[in-house]
Amino acid sequence: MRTLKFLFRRLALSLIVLFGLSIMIFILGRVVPGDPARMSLGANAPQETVDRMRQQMHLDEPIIVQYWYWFSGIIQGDFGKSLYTKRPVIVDLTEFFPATLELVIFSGLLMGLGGLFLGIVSTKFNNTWVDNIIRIVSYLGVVTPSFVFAIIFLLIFGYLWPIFPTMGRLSRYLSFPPNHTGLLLIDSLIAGEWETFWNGFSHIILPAIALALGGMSQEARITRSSMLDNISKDYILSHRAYGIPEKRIFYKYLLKPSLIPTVTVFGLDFAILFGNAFLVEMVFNWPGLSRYGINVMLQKDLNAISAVIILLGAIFVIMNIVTDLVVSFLDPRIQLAD
Amino acid sequence: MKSNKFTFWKENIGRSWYKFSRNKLSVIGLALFILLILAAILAPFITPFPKHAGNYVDLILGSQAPDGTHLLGTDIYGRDMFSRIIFALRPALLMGIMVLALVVPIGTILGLIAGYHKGKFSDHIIMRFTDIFLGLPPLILALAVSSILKPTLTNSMIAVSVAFWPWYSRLVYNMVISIKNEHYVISSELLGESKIHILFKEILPNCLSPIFTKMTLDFGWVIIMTASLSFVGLGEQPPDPSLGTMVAEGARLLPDKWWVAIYPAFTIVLMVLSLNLIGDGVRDMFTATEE
Repeated sequence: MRTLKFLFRRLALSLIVLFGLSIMIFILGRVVPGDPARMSLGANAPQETVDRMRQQMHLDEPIIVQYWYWFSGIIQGDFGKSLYTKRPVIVDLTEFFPATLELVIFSGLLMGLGGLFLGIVSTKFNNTWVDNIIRIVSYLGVVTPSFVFAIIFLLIFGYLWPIFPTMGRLSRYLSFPPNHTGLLLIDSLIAGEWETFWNGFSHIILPAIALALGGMSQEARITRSSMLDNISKDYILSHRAYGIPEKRIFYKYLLKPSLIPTVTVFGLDFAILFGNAFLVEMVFNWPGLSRYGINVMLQKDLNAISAVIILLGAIFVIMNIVTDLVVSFLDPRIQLAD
Repeated sequence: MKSNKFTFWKENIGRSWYKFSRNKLSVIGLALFILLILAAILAPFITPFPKHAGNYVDLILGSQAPDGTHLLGTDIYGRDMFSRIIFALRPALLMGIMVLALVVPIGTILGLIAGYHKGKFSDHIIMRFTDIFLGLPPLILALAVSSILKPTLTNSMIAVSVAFWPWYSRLVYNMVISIKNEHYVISSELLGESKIHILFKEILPNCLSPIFTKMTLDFGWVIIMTASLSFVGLGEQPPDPSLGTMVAEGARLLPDKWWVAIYPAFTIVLMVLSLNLIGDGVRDMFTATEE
């Protein structure tokens, strides 16, 4: 019951945030110098056509009315037309978003599992050379931006020791499997096309690792320090005195409460992956939403920019709610108040 | 009174330095960072080809591998990479300083006001406004803002600042709501001290250590974010040297001309690494030791 109430409250607050975000984006869009009607028609269009366009785009009306037209369009999934692709933005989104989603999910799995694994190993072998190596590597992982990892991987695994393809989602000679989920790896499994699956897998592995390493390092560090904090607590000692097997103490009584900070950071990092994907997709020519986002930003294509941002904002907000729910499940003492 | 205050600070600095310097890695980080700052300031004097920082073309010397004259090689226009990297430290460091100088006071003051008036109108207004800005990953927010502005250093500064201030008001807000119920705050309220006095003299000093720790770490994040903006082409424009642009240009030349991308990339890592090492030391400095 409390969870439900929390969920309801958070959803309401999130809607306010998204609404505010839409206002902010709208205002930002109007700050841009230049006439949007003129921009969409090109410099050579006659003045009358531009005037008619202005009327069509409701640019003559007060700004609040303009916002209303724009906002009611968004609610119905109508983000207007992209000046860059000359298609409705929503069509672009549905085409490009699955590629980014696949990359980010894959990367998030690597990040979470890898970080957890490294953190646990580091705790188990505390103060040995294994621990030291993991600590140094994860420190470097935290301070290295994902696009630098992307470039280094491109150099090493793309050229010097070319074991993975570095461009796109799938080799040219293969065709995409029938579309069910939009996620290439899952679609190819559904269709039973193993070659396509492996090809897609080999394409996703480099960008996904480049994207995951930063967060993975952070999770490893946090898991380690949180477990080491808890290991000296009295309740662990008393469990030990009761003769509970070490393994059970480690995984059940030590690991579970230690995961709370890890999960909190994971939730945030997962959402941040969508941001860093902007850079990694560019390096690996990944045909996703982020590469699309960069292109429309460079073209100052306002309709498309606002659509990308609102979509990512919605994801970010949802991720935050999910994180809070998981944390409250891990630690019943935390009350879902705010 | 004044001299007392002075000895107090002197002692404090001595103790802080002792705590900071116990972590040898932090001292190395600090030394490295000072070295980078000096290199940036003295760039025209220590670089072999200061002219190459600007709009200089010598295609005959283009894309030369690192050797004795060009320590880190040259880019496609024949410009010395070492000189360009040293000059690129300037905008990077400037960004860090300017963004923090802009963001920390704004975020802190808003957090102080909202936290002190928790539950009141100003709290709701400020914090919902903060939440809107926290509703996007910082990099995406910065990209969005800079995509709309002209790509210059000042505008990247604005874009990055827009992405960073809400984290400070959130941080300060959370601290203030617990501090404002402490006895010393309540007692100065009863004494009838002004709000300014209570906010800045009673509450703020107790928020400083997490703010300083966050600032050192954020300096590195600002550098990464600036580099990211110029990496995608939304930051400072060529021919001005910027690490992100250099990495992006070099990425197209991989693998043969690897030095064009790799050295600027390592410079970014080195800067952020030094700042993170300092950050660890600053955290130790503010943590009460149990001895």
